Amino acid sequence: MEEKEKMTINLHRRTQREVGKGGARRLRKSGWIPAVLYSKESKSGKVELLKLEAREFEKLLHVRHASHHLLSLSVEGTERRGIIKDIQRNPIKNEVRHVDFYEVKADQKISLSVPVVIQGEAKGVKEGGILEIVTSELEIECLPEAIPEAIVVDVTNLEIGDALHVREILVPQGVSVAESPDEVVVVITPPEVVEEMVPSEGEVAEPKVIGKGKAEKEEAEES
Amino acid sequence: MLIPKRVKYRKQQRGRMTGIAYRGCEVDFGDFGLQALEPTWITNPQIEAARVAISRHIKKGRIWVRVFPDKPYTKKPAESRMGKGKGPVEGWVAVVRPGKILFEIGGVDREVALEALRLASHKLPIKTRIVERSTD
Repeated sequence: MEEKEKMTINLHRRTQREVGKGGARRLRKSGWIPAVLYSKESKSGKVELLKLEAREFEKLLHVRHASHHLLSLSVEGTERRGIIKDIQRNPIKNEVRHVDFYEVKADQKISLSVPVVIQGEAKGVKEGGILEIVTSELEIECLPEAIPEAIVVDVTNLEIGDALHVREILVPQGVSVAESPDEVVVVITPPEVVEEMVPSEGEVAEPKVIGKGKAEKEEAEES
Repeated sequence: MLIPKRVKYRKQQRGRMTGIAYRGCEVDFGDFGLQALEPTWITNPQIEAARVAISRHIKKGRIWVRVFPDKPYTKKPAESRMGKGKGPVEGWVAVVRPGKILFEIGGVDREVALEALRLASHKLPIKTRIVERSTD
């Protein structure tokens, strides 16, 4: 396995003025991203309110699979280790709105989602089938040092109608998949000719009304 | 055309379309998607027209329609006086907020998918953009 490069994120504590909806908006306007840090030991609601520079973080996200890396979190000088648990984005501008960091310990197993990477071209696809990725991210459990960049799935031998389940996937040593073994990861569906629905002219179907609407009340009153 | 099988009430109030979509704003099933950039009501004929445009172009592959017209809209008959209650149901719409993925395509080449979604975008009353499934 190749040596993983160490990634460091500089985090700063938020002041009282930078907390809450208005505070978070002010932060975003001035080039910062609000963030929180918590760990397994954190009691509910007890999180550390932090901020980080948006530019620096966007640069880090450009590194392949950075969101599943073990990171070095520098909280105002003190070094800690953690992973990115969640990233909230604006779906239009694609800007990062908020980040959740999860502090980990070297001897403590963590669960996180890693992407599934497809390797090879399936026999079924060559015959005209469609490769459908049902599960694009797998929930795994492992020690922080053993986080794989991705779960590589070889689909070369799959024919039309074949499916690859979680139980058939080879994962690196020290990593266990936390999902049901019967879960389908990839399936090769037969070539589907997209059928065209013929619009029914004239009579338009109406949905059945199940609530007691005004019409029904009136009917009940009349009778 | 898409229409609910059963509803609790025949008519609905119009509601608001403020804000942006935070759900259904990522390509989850296929490889490419068409993302709404404006808020609108999309009627079932518009959804159907866009779906047909995609299916005629791609011929094979899969299409996912990520919106469903579950909101009835009403209209008063022409030349009728005001009052006398809410008009009859005229049609069905899907409430779309900016960011919502409307259609997804999988199992086809990139060029074919992009062209199919471009054609579909012309059937819709709003600005859209084509987005790709994120790999990370």
